[in-house]
Amino acid sequence: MKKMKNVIRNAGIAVLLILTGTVGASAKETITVTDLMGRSVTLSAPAERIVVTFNVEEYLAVAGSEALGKMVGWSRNYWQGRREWIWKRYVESLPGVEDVADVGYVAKKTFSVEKVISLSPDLVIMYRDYARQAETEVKRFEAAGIPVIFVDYHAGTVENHVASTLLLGRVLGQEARARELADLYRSRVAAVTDRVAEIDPGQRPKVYVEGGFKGPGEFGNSYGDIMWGALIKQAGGHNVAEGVIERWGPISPELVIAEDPDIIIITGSYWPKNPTSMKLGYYADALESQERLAAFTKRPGWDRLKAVRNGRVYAIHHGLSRHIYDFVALEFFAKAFHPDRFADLDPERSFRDFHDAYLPVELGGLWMMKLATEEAPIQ
Amino acid sequence: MNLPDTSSALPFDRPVDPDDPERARSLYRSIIAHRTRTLLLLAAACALTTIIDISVGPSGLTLGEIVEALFAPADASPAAQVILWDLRLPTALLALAVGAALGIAGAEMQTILANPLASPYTLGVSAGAGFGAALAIVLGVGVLPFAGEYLVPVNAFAFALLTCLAIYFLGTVRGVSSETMILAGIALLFLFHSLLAFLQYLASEEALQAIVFWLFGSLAKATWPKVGMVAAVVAVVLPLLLRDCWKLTALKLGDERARSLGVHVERLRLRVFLTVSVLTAAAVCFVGTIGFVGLIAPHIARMLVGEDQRHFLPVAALCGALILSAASTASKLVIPGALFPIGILTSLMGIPFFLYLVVRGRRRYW
Repeated sequence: MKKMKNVIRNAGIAVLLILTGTVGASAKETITVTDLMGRSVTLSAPAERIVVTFNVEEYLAVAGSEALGKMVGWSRNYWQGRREWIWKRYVESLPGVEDVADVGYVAKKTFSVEKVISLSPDLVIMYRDYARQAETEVKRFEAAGIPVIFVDYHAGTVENHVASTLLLGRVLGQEARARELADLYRSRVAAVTDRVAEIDPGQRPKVYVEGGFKGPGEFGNSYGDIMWGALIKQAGGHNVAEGVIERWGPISPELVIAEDPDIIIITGSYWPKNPTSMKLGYYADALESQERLAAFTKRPGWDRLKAVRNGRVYAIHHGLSRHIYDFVALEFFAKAFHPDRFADLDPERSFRDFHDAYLPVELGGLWMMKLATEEAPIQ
Repeated sequence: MNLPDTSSALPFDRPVDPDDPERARSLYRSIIAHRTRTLLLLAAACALTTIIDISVGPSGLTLGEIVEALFAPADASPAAQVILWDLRLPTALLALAVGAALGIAGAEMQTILANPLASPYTLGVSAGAGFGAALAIVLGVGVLPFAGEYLVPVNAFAFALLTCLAIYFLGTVRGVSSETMILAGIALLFLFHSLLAFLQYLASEEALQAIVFWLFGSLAKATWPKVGMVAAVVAVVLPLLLRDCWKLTALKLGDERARSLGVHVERLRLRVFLTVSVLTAAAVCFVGTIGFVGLIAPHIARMLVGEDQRHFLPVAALCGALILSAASTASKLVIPGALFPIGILTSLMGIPFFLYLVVRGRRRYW
């Protein structure tokens, strides 16, 4: 009897093993995809052991609830030390995120090939710039048989956002979710750009955007054709830094005075070591952010600028560009540039909805704001 | 810079008949007159570059508007007023003040250390300032609490001064010898470079960019109080140094000879070094690491007027001011409208000119 029991049990285990095996085998397939560097990559999908080096939000948004379990390694510096409040938010709301192995951060030259290989990943996700910055590392991964794909949300084009998202969906086995995200992005951007196209070039306001890291005491980076610069154009504004700087860099304080922009936008984040930097993010306090933004308008000569006189000074979180949710920034810009035409937009609401639907954390704090004036005090 | 060559007129090059004091006197007078002319010429050149500096900028103000804003601010447009009085003038004057400070600092460092390579840059003083600034930018750590907007310059100032003191005390371990001080300075230079690299490693991307920009050197942060502070330090230090000018000139003959002439060499070296330290710290803390104005300005001055400190010192100051003032104008022209770091330009413009002078020179200046 006992023997019989054993046989049955073993058979049962065998069946179970076969079943899971076949389930696994049917779900896993070898696919060939083209990434955003135009490389053709063959891998076994869906990937189960993933190293994420950038665009962690996009990975989480596409991969959904199982995302964290499949992330065997990541560049922790992407948040920790770089976006302290985002890191805090995720540590608080996403148990286990602290335990994911750190593989170093490419931009800081701490990225470790050996660490990545030791995690035996079946996929490494990078972003476009790393093809140049981590050229050697990528070659080594290829030699070790570890597939690498490049995504690109930096270009700020609908095509690349959509293609990157669909690519993530394909390799992560979340194609339906990816398509949903891509459609959302496409439609939300089109909703703005279609209407912007109707705006007469003469009605486009002059916009000056500056990274608020250095605080009012020193002029921070402005943006040429990329990131915020690209977004200004998309939202129907004229960027005063266009043609002056190509990518990013500070422009002359004198140029700002001479151009007399209609709108000024300062980007913020939580930079704990810089007491005068623009402060925004998951834990920002509206009053404090107002004070910090107001300090920028006290720069020499700024009291006479149109933007300041007309109360059209804004701040937005620095991390709201080059992401799948950057349509939120586009909506915010469009509404700031053309308040009458885009009165129906609610960028804050859009961002909250995006969090609820796609991100594992809840929105909080303050991410975008208008400087309070006597006519329009803090709500 | 078409200044006449003084080398042929130096008193020691040609024998003077001792029985002809009148000729000696007239020769001396002509040398002094020539040096005074050089001084005035340089001062005029500085004035000219400053005028050009305040006339150039991305806003395209016309010369008329500038003159109006300068002499009749009440009638000028508000934009022109702000551009001239809040932006261009402080920048142009800060260039002069910092250039002069670095020129003086380099001149005296070379004199007391008897070494042509001594300057705030090569002795690690700028590197110390850079480390102090980075400490404030990356870690928010300041030597003075609640320094606010002045956190970075206060830190840079403190660390520049600290570097000088460290050089000095390391130098005194084995008597106040110039070799030890120079070696100590170079060691500190590398130490601060490593520490700075470590901070850059810790820094966020935004902080990293801020550090790099600080290290490039920039006059864009110029404000009237900053101009006032640097100018005040120069105004205090220059007369103090000129009071010692004969002793410093004697020092150039070598420690032994200076001693035999009654100069207390160690005490002089200490006093001058401390004075120069404050000057350097004040100059670099607001503008960042501006190339090696402090290295080349004294050499140019030496080629123009020789080692007599009465003229050497003010000429070195004017050379420094002239170089930085010219670089300030040029930095606005590189990419109109963008803030091009002036530190890059001082090196790029300064080196070829300096090398030209070195190669062309007919006699040894050092």
